[in-house]
Parts: sequence; structure tokens; C-alpha cells
Amino acid sequence: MAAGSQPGHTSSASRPEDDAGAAERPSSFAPWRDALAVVVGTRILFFLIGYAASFLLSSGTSGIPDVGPFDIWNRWDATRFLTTADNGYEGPGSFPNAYAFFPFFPMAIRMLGWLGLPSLAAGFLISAIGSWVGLAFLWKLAEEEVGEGTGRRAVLYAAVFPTAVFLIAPYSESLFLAGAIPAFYFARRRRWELVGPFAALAMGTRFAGVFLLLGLFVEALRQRDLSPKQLFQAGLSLVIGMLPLLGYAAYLAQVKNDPFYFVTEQRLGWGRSFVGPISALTNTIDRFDDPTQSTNFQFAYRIEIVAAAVGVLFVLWAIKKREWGYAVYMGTVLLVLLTSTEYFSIPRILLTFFPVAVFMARATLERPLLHDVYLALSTTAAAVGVVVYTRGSWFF
Amino acid sequence: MSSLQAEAAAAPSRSLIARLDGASRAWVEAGVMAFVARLAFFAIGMATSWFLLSGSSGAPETGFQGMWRSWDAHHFLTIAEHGYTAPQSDAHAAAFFPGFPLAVRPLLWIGLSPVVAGLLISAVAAVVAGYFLHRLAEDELGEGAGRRALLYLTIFPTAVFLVAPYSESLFLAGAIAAFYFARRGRWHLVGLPAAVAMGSRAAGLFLLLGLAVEFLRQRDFSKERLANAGLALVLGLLPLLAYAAFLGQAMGDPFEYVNHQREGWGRTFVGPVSSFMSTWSTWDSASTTQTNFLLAWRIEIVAAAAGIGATLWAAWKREWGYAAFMGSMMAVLLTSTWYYSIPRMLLTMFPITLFLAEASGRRPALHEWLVVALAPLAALGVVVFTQHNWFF
Repeated sequence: MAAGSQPGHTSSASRPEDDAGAAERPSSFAPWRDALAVVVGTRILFFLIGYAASFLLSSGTSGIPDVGPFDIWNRWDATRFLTTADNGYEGPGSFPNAYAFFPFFPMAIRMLGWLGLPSLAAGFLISAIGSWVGLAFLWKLAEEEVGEGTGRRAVLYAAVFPTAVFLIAPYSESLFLAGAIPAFYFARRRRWELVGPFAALAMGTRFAGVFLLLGLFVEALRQRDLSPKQLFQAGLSLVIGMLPLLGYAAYLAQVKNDPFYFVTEQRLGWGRSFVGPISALTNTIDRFDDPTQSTNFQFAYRIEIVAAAVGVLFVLWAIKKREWGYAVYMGTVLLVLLTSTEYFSIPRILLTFFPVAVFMARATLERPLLHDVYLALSTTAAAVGVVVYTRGSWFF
Repeated sequence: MSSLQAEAAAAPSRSLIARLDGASRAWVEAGVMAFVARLAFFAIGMATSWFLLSGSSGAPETGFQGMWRSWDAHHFLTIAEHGYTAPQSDAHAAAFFPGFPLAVRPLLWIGLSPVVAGLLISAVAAVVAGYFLHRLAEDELGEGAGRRALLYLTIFPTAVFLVAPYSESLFLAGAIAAFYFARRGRWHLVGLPAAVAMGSRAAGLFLLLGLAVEFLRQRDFSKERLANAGLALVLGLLPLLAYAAFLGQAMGDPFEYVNHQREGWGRTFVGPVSSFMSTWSTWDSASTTQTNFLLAWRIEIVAAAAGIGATLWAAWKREWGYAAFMGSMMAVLLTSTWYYSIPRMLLTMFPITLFLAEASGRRPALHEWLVVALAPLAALGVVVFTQHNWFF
């Protein structure tokens, strides 16, 4: 099918198989148009919800809320990313333990800053563009593999996932997906020559890029009949994908004398190290009634358990579909999360399990009631996430 | 090519629900929606009460029942428990029509708590309302319209009041059923549901007006239909007369309902310009007005515009019965001292959901956008209401 897009094939009449390929593939414009509509639409909606909540939930104060409509999105890790973009990893004004955050997202903010854009605006813009690219490829992935009409569904499901607030906020999830989804898309289309740069984008943005590379590796193994050229391209892509990790490690080796300093920072900043799965679970359950934790966190730990169970189901779903590349990608991410000192931010990480949106689009194809109910419930949960996050309460 | 594709080809062509007949499908879908909406709204209320509590540790003080006994729910349930004139009840309790508290009361006798009883009445009423809305949409707008109209009602921005112990569900159960039978020309069945609506909310009067106009629109004035419709309207008026008689006896004035609206909420009839200006100028005192109310007043104005829009939409479709129902309600809301609770009143203007279901019939993208836009607003309403902040 890739041959059809090569230049030089002007006489399509003599190549019927190319025609079939063209008919199967919808307008190349549609995924970008639909994804853009969803990216813009959900932003308008969730910015409104967040700011409306900041009025409607303030009965003890009078007048317009102190924090503006966009500043209410500068919370938790958003502040860390923006501060890192402004002041670097270390030095005056920088956040402690900032090395735990991979560099591409703050770097991209800083580059937009050179154009005069304030960090917060730059963060929003990168999240928006990252979502757009990621969702457009998700559209193609679903539409081309599952069938007509599933592209828009998959995009919607991803954009209103219960923790979708982090696709809008200045967090690194959007930029990561802008690398991860196209990487898998091209891998599955066997266009391995295009996988490398996207995999590298994901790898430089979040540590989870390592698990993406693992998933892509398994995807290559699954495609048993690759030509030597494709095999070479696949190998090269994985090497290119590794480069940002090597680059960051080299940088950390130089400035901190420890190439794995981002792991050290996880332990220093969040008390996270590797433990057995049982003690990770019991540590999390112990937090339910831990009097040193606020009600907010006590509840969040309960949701962590639910999210962990959902994550396991997602992986099992991929295995049942014999989607080994997806299963390894999601399974390894989950494995690390479930063997960390305690469960933390799992609901947010599930947002990066993009294959689930495709699976869901498939599941609701002939079930309009399920589509409606799932869409409504997921959007509802996403709205709660927006309210909790923009209020400054902990939301993963 | 992929396993996903192979699976798509092997999928069953119709779901289980699609194989049911119209009435059964309407009951099943209305039941499913009402049930899922309750699960979701209860979960949202509970989750946010924990999530938004950062200053302390342990379970929030306000439990499930306290969370849902907010604002008018408290008034309704106190009336159900103690009656209109008891000292526990609001001094202006007569502003609340008796249908909902009367329905709750027998459930208290069998030992249910007021909140649970109120939630139960709202749930049953929501299923009945959903059933008739489904039938109405499916019959008039084609297959699939029933599910869409029902969904739009379930996730309407103020849908929290279909779940809470408020009178909106009971009113809609009567109002939609009355219009359903009226539009089928079965006027002998209109009276009872119309009476349920009239007994639940003063807006029943606008419903009766709408039904009368619907009768005229059908232009079939045979003797039998005339008698049936006339009887239905008289039957529909009975709860109003009974309530007036009760108020006359218990409080000395059959129109105590209007008095209490004025005394309790400062509402009298004024010109539409004065009403708009009073609402608009709330922003002038922005620095002293409660933050919560500051935006609520602004949303009242948006809701008023939406209500006018819905009425014009009905008129444009030449749906005179619906137009009269919604138009007369809007006329009263827009000539009250200030705009108040209009977003909640829009929830009772059920023709809006039918119009939307018709519009989205051939546009799946519009349908999805409606779901994606409405559901978060409904969720916000649940959060604001269960946190005991003012939400219409």
C-alpha cells in the first residue's frame, strides 16, 4: 500500500491495487480536521468548566476569584515543568528534584519562550499541538484497522478519558502521545523508516518511552515477514528512539555524576523505589486511613487501586486480542507502576494507554447505547478531574 | 489485515436491545439511563466531597444523605416529614406544590429516611418520564431518536435535579406522558398525568395551556374528543383547586402560594425590562456579591436566552402546543423581579430534548458533540449542588 503514495505513479488506471488502496484510505484531510475539532472543542469546554467551577464553588468569598481562568491550570507538576523551563533543572528558582522530569517538554516551552510566549501559554500550546498530532494518528490507526467511523470515536474516547485534564494542562502527556501514537502507527503500517523520530520524541518526553520502544520491538517481531531492509529500518528506528535517553543520561552523568539520576530523584522527591508488588499494594492500602494524609489524598489512593485494576484489564484486553506490541508496551509501564513503593498517578498514566481508545471504538461499533453511555460517563469523569485539578486539589 | 479488522467482520449486526419491541426498548433504555445516571451522580458527589477536602483528614463530615439534602430538597423533605404549617418547615413553605412531598410521605411511613424516599420518588418518576419521552421521540422522529432524546434529558446541564429530591422528575413524568397521549389523540388518557404535573409544580398551569393549544392545533373537534379533552383539562386543574382550597383553609388565603413566593424570595411581577436590568446589574456590586452567585446570575441570563430560543424554535416548527407551554413559562420567568432558577426550569421544557434529537438524527457528529458538551455541565452541577453551593 505504501507504494501507492510514491511519486511517479501517475497512471493509476494500470494499477488497480493502488486504486483499492486509495479507496480504502479516507481523505488524508479528515483525521486532521476531526482531531483539530476535538482538540479545540474540548479545550473550550474544559476551560469554561474550570473557570465556572472557580466561581460556583466559592461561597465563602465575594467578587471575582483571585486566580484567573488560565492560571488555575498552573498546578502540581505543571508548575514544576514551567519552572524548569524558566530556570533550568538546577539553580536559583528551580524546583527540587526536577531531574525526575524528562527534558523535551520543558525544552519545547523554553524554545517558544524565545519567541516571546509566556511559559504557561507555551505549555498550553505544546499540549494542544501534541494532542492534535497524537489524536490525528489515533484516528488513522482506528479508521484503517477497525473500520469506518471508528476514527472519530477513538479520538473522542481519548480526548475525554477520565484524566484528560492532563492533555490540556501543561503536562508532558500530550507531547509523549504525539510521539508514541505515530510511532506505533507507522510501525503497524510497516513503514519502519518513519518510526525513529517519533519514538525519540516520546523517549525524550517521558521515561515511559523506554516501554514504548519495548512495545515497538515486539511489534517488529510480530511482523514475521519483514524484508531485510525493513528489519534494518526497524533496528535503526529503535536506536534513534534510544538516543534521547542516552543523551539525557550523558548529561546527568556530567552534571550529577550519575547517568540514572532521574531514578534517584524519584526516590528523593517522592520516596519511590522498587519493591515487590504485594508491598506496593499494601503500602497503598495503608494510605487509606493514614492520618498524615489529607482526605483528598486518602481518597486518591483508593482511586489508584481502581486504576491499577483497570490497567491490568487493559493489558489483558490487548493480550486477548493477541496485540502483543500493545500488550508489552502497556504491560511494562504497569509493571513498574505496580512495583513502586506505592501506587502513584496511575490514573494519569492510563491516559497514555492509547490502544485502549482503539479497542473501545471497536467495542462500541455496533452498540450505540454503549457508545452513548461510555462517552457520557467518561466525559463526566473528565469534568470532575478538571474541577478537582483546577481547584488545586490533588488529582494524580 | 489485523486481528482488529477480522474481529470487526465477525461482530453481531444488532445488539440485544435493538431486537426488543418499541415499548420494551423504551422501558429498558429509560431504566438503564436512570440507573446509570444515579450511579454516576452519586459517585461524583461522593468523590468530589473527598477530593476537594485538602485541609483535613478522614471521611468528610457530610455523608451521602446530607449531601443530597441541599437547598430546596431540604424544604421539600421537611414538608413531607412535618407538613406545611409545622414550625420545622420553611415559613414560606406554601411556595412548594404538594405533589412531591405527598408522594414521599407514604415511604416515610414504611420507615425510609426522607432523603432515600425522595431519591426513590425522583428515580421512579425519571424512569416514567424517560419512557414517555423515548416513545414520543421514537414515534415522531424515527428509530434512535428515543435514545438520543432520553440521553439529552439525562445529561441536561441541570439534570442533577432529576436525581435530587426535587419535584422536577415527578413533574416531567406527568408532563411528558400528558403530551404523549395528547399528540396520539388519546385525550381520555391526558387528564391523569396532567394532574400529576399540576400537583407537582405551578408550571403545571403552563402545561395545561400548552395541552389546550395542542388540542386546537389538531383541528379535530368531534364531540367525543371535545368532551375527552375538556375533561382532561378539568382533571388537570383539580390539584391546583385542591391546593388552593387547602391553603385557604390552613393559611387563610387560597393564593398563599403567590404570597410566599413574594415574601420568601422577593418575587413579584414586574416588566421584562426591569427584570432583565435587575439581573444584569448584579455585576455592579461584584466586589460584595458572593462569588458563587456572581456567576449564577450571569448564567441565568444565558439560560433566559436559551429558553427564548427554544420557544422560537418551537414556533418555527409550528409546534404551537410546545411553544405555548414553553413560551408562557418563559413569560412568567422573565417578568419576575429577577431571573431565578431559569437553568433548572429549562430542564422541565422537555420539547428541547426532542428538537435536539431531531437535529442530531442525521448528524452523528452533532450528537457526539452534544453528549460531550452536556455531560460535563451536568457533572459540574452535581459537584456544585452536592457541595451545598447555590446551583439554581
